[in-house]
Amino acid sequence: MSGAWRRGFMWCLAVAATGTAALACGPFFIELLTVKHSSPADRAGYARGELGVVKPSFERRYLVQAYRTLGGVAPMAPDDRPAGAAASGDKPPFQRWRDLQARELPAAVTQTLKPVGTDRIAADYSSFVNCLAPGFEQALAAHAERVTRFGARSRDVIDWLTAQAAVFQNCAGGPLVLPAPAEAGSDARARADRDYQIAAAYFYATQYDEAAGRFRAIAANTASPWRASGRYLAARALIRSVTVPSTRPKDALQRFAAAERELQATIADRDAAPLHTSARGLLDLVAARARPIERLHELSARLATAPTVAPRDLVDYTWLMDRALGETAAGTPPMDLAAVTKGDDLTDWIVATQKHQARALERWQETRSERWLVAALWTAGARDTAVPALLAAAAQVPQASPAFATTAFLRIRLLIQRNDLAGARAALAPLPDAPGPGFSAETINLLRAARFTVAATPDDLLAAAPRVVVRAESEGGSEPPGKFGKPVWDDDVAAVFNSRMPLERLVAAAESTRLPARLRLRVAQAAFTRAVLLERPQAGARAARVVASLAPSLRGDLGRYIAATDDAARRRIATLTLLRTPGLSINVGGRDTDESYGRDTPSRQFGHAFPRNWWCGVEAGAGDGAARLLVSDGVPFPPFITEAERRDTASEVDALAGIGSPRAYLTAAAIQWATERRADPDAAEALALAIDGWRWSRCQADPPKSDLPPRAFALLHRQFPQNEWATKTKYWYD
Amino acid sequence: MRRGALLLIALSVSWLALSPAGASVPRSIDRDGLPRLILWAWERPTDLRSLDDGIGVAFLSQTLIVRHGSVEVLPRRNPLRVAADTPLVAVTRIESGDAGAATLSPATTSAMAAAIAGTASLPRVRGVQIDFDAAGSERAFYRALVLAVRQAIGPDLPLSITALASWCAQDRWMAGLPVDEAVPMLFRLGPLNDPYAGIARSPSAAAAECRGALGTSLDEPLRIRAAGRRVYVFNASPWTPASVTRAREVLE
Repeated sequence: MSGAWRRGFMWCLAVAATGTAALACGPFFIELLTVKHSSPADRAGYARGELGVVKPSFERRYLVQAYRTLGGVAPMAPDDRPAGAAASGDKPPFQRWRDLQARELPAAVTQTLKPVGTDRIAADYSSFVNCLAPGFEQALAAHAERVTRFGARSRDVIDWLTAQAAVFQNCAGGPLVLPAPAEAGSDARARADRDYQIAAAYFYATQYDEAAGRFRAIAANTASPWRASGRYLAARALIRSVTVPSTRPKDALQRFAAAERELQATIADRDAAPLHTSARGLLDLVAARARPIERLHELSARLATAPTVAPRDLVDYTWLMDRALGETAAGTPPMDLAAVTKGDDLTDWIVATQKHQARALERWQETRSERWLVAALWTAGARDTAVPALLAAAAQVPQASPAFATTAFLRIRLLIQRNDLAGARAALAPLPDAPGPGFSAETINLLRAARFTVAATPDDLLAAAPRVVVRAESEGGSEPPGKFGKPVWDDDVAAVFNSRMPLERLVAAAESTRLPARLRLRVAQAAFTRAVLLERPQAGARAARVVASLAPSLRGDLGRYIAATDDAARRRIATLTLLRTPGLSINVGGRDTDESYGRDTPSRQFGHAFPRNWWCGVEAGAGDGAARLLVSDGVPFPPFITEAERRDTASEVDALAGIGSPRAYLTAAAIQWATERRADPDAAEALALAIDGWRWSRCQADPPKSDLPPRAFALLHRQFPQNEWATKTKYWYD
Repeated sequence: MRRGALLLIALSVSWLALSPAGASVPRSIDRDGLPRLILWAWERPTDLRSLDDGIGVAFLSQTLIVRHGSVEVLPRRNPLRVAADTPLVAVTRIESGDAGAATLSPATTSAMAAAIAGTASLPRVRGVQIDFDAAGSERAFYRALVLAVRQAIGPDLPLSITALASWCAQDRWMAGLPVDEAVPMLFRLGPLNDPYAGIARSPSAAAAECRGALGTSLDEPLRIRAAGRRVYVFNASPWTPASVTRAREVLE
């Protein structure tokens, strides 16, 4: 169900990222993105025309902005403007009307009334806001005017109020409720009021044809104070007669046409001036419903070229595009794409870019414009015959062009995909490695991802590994990076360290001082953990020295590991170090969350709220960051990794996978230790930590049952009954 | 009748085979008048007019949003189109951030109960369901709400609630609630599937309240065995004839 689905989905995403099991929903973390796919990372800069790398995955409103900027049209107004004027402290008109009714109407009347609502439930179980705020506002104003004229307790006012209350009885459904007819002998004004109220009652009761006829009659009554709004309201009734029923009437187009005539007449009527803006908006609405493709093209022409753009036009355009492309909640089929794009360059460009159509290349060849160059570069396959020409054109884009960052990145991307690594390096060489004019932080992240992919040496690789946070995303929304200013990694980096490098390379990377300390520690701890599991003591000692230098809390254990004089003793202290340090992992960890960002050393305590203890398999996924744009089939080996090293890497990854889950490995090791050294008090600690850690480190691939926890528990209490670790360990867990 | 009814549901297949009265009840319909297979229709335009006999629809009729001590009612916005004889269950989703329902006043609770009970009067509705992932601190409120809803709709109309899978496993707190069924939501559980796989396979693995029904999703890898239980099926995509067929296979 949607709520559970949404909660569960977020939860599953978090779990999928770690491969670790959790015991409850949440907590929910802030995801620290280095690349943002659905919208610009720097929205304010983008709105000023600093596009960075334009992506086909952007929401279409951002692609409209890109189209304008790439074509030299002034950017649209920033989209991060305030959402609107602050709400007044007044109660909503609906509530004020409800209060007025309760206060002013005689008890005999209020007792007959249903509670007033605004939403009406239709026969198809859907609802819509039937009575809008302006309707209540107008009623409140009309009441105030009559009170001024006649007095609050006058019969005229009470009659009018009673009738209006009857009108609003139709808002929330039920059978038609009509106001009583005007009393015989009442004046023309009172009769006109009542005619209007009766028409409104039909309108709210969804009897639209009757309402439209009555509003037309009011429009024809030159004595009615409501005359000027008659045709406007008749149009609204006609529009609702099409849009409210779940089944579109067969004569929908005729009804829309009639509504348009009424609206045009309203606009031609000077007395109806206060309604002109609304009437024009309704004409646009009718056009979108009655002639969607035509309206799409009208809006597109305006969005593509007009110096300024009304926000509503952009909303209408994207609404129509969703329908044109069949991207609706109802799953409506797409419209005829040829008709949708015909003669409409903006729409054609967006569709070609997002749908990866060969048409992008055709249009670039026809126009040679930077807009279509961007589209063609995104959609071209690495082996397309036109690619050399595209690459040449991309190389010619001047740095001052708003297309430069996009074309530069896409040129490098194509070169990488064509395995022309030397060409990619040459293209990268003149490009900056720090944000500056024309190069946003995200653009630098993408260029670093490319540099990382084509790195010719380990130093080049390490130099390109760090990235910066460009968006912080939580359930509450997406924000600029704010306080997250330290260097981080993207998943492409983690995947290479985890699955495309042998242990010796990891150790060397840890020993290098190229990386910032917190990232270097990530490599070093993974190298140490792998060395322990793979029983490579020399590599383990080298990695341990680096970890000890960067993580003081581990110095004691690691010093003993380094100083151990025989393999068995080294294995024992390694086991105890891992058990004492649930933050140690065979993986370097990829994209950060606020939680991992704040952790500068491996945790020495088991995480309970959202267990991320030890590891669950080798994390080789390229993730959803830069790699999504650069490579299609997992991260490649760094170019400097030799064939022999690739074989070594594969063997090591297989061996690590063969070890199984860390809790089973460590619990078995603790049991063996205690069995072999029956008086060793450290074995008691190892058993206790293994029993506790079992609870907090379940992996998805773990078998449902194991005899290891009860065996460890029994051994601990049988062999070390007086030991404090036995005293502290009261339970074991499945 | 509530707990007794759950037992009856569990035994209904054999009971129907023996009872002359039961012989006239189609196998796909339980004694409460609701089918064994019910599709959840959430907030999107949904057309299920071609649904086969014996399949019901539980549709989101409204969402109650608890915020700052008050409740906002968001009625369904999208059309649901069904055949005239399709049994319907009106679902009310409750959303409360930061366990805000825990501190609602009795008057607000009563108003919420009235709003939920009100969905029973929608055309062709044969049951009412509440979907609320109540936090621990909200359980007292939820219990009071369910009692109030039951009082408002009377003893005969089926009252169903969805349940986090944990409520039907180790975290049992629903005993005594006056509901006809609690529907364990056996989907989107991620790696926790395994602990709840027992409920998916057998009613007896669940708390008593949860033995009459279960909820799953069409894209859920966890295999379920209905074993006489009512099955609610969620579909993250629009319902189509093909996906209805797949839902039917879930039951089978």
